[in-house]
Amino acid sequence: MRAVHPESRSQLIQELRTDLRHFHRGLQLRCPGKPVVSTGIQAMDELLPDRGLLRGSLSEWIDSENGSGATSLVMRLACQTQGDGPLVVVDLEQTLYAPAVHAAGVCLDKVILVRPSSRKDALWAAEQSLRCPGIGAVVFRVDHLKTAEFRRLQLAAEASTVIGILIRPPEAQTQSGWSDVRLLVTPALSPPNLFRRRMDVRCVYAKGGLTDRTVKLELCDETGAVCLAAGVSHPATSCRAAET
Amino acid sequence: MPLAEAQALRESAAFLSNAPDADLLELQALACLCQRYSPIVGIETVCDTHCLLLDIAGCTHLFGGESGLSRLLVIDLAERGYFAHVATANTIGAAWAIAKFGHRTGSDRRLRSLPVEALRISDKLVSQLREFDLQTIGQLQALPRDTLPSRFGAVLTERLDQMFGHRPELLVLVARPEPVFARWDAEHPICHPEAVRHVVSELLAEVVDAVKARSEGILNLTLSFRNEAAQSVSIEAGLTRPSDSVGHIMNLLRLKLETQPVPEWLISIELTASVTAPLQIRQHGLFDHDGPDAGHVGRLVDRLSARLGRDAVVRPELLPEAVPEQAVGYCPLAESVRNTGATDATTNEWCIATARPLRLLRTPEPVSVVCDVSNGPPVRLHWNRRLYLLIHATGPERISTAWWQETGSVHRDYYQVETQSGSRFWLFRDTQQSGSENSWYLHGVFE
Repeated sequence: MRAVHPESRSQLIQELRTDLRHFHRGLQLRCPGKPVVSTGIQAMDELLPDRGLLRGSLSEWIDSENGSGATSLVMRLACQTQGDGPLVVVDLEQTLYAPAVHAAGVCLDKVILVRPSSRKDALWAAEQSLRCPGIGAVVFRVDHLKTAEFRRLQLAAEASTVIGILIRPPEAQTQSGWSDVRLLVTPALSPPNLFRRRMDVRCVYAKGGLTDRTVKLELCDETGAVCLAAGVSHPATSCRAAET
Repeated sequence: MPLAEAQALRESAAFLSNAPDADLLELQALACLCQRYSPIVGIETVCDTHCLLLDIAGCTHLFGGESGLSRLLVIDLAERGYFAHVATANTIGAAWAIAKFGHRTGSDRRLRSLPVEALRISDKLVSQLREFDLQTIGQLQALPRDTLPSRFGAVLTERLDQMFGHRPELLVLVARPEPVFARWDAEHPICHPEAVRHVVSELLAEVVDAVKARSEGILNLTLSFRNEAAQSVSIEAGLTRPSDSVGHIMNLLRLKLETQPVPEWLISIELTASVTAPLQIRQHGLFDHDGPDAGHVGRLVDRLSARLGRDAVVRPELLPEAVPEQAVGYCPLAESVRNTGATDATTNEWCIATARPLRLLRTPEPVSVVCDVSNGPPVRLHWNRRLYLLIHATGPERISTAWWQETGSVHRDYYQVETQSGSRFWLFRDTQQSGSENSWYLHGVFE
């Protein structure tokens, strides 16, 4: 067997990866005309296989635990889609707090808040909204999804140009799904600041893209800005964490 | 005055967008109300002023004369929240001028002293007359009549003649809309849902045809069922915009029939278009085909409201309240779209400077908390059968309301806490129960 130089080896792997991605894309039979909406964060765009949220696709954002910040992140990204149409939020638990949504940069005048009384109605409302062409994005927080229900949501999203965003509990990590992208949001230690917090976003699954990559983001509740977290941790926070 | 200037002058005022279609609908409703005083009621909409015209010839003796009729009319309109100026005169022009520019009598001498604006002419024509220093109607009448049309157009002499009764003026009658309904009576009772849907679709096609003939669309429908035991059930279906699409309305009715119980063995089904309105026709531009389609969104809101109920499809509104659970209001989207004609009519200007959690529990949950110092921030939290070690706690943010509030007084010290793993929660200590074990509550999660 011929020995391969390390540099050319890494180059070869990159080329194979690119070929594999193109092959996957060909299999997916995606509509080439569907545009991509940037998340507004370069690092986040690079994490996603289409360099943004692809219209007519479903993405899953999994909360690793309560209060990890996945919904805050999703709201900051979803407001980018409001220029194309209203944002539909299906709130089955009826706990979404509008002042915090407003603070995340979402224009409340362009929000359709659906507060169904049953899980069945919530699934129906999400599917109807995903099929509606004039909608910008649909955000749906749902615990458990059967395969058929998931597939229905995915087909509904594919039938239109709506971005579907599912916020899932930690148990969803072990369940199979039909989403195009699956991201795991894990809270990280933050600097001692009332408004700033950090989180790790890991791409667990991406159809036709590279997975198992992580970005560390910092989210400011005061300004609504999301940016890459600085690499150096705050010494006081680290010390306190070590003590506890 | 620009809107920004008005907002600066009066911050507490409510600012609503102009909705001429909704105004016209309301005026038509008032015209129907006034038909109890006169069978002939018209609407005058010149110079951006909405006015109701009543031909009260032969009707006054029923209400104690002209003054009695006027008094009753003012009271009737006041009960609906309107402050009305009512004037009685021999001509439409004179009545309009007196109601607008306020003279006690409508004698010719009085009318001549009124300003030229009282002639129901455009602002442009008024400014032209002002350039010639023509301030009153009397000054206009003093000029040679033959010269007026060539200088100011024929409309000026026409309005002058109409005011003094030298030329007749047509009062366009506002017809009370006939209720549009279709009814089906069974020879044999039916109970199968498919049969019911078929009958309803037939009735709907009939009703839509009748409404279409009036160049109108349906805004609200009432579907009534009656069974052999003479039990009646009615189902209401509303739309955000007037529609004449049988497919769309039938879809809404089908959703209603799926969710609401219908009695068995029906002998009669009646469908009534309870509210209709002129169709809103918008001409599309050559290049605006790629914009978001408001029609699709409106139909989506109709469908969601039909199945889930109007209160379940809402737009959140921020309210200037200190207590977190009272700081949000929910406006049913179906009603707000219909009243304003757009989905982006209001603005949520109110904002809170402090961070709030995205998930606010419907009722605060009591939690057990360990504090290092008395009345200090918590260091441990036990919630949902799990122990959280808290490494950050910011606060307290004190929220306190007075005892005369309807919902009772609230005295809370809020803390935003961060766990060892980075999760954030919103806790408060009820200072009214301070000292007791159950004084701590979890109110929100920074999801």
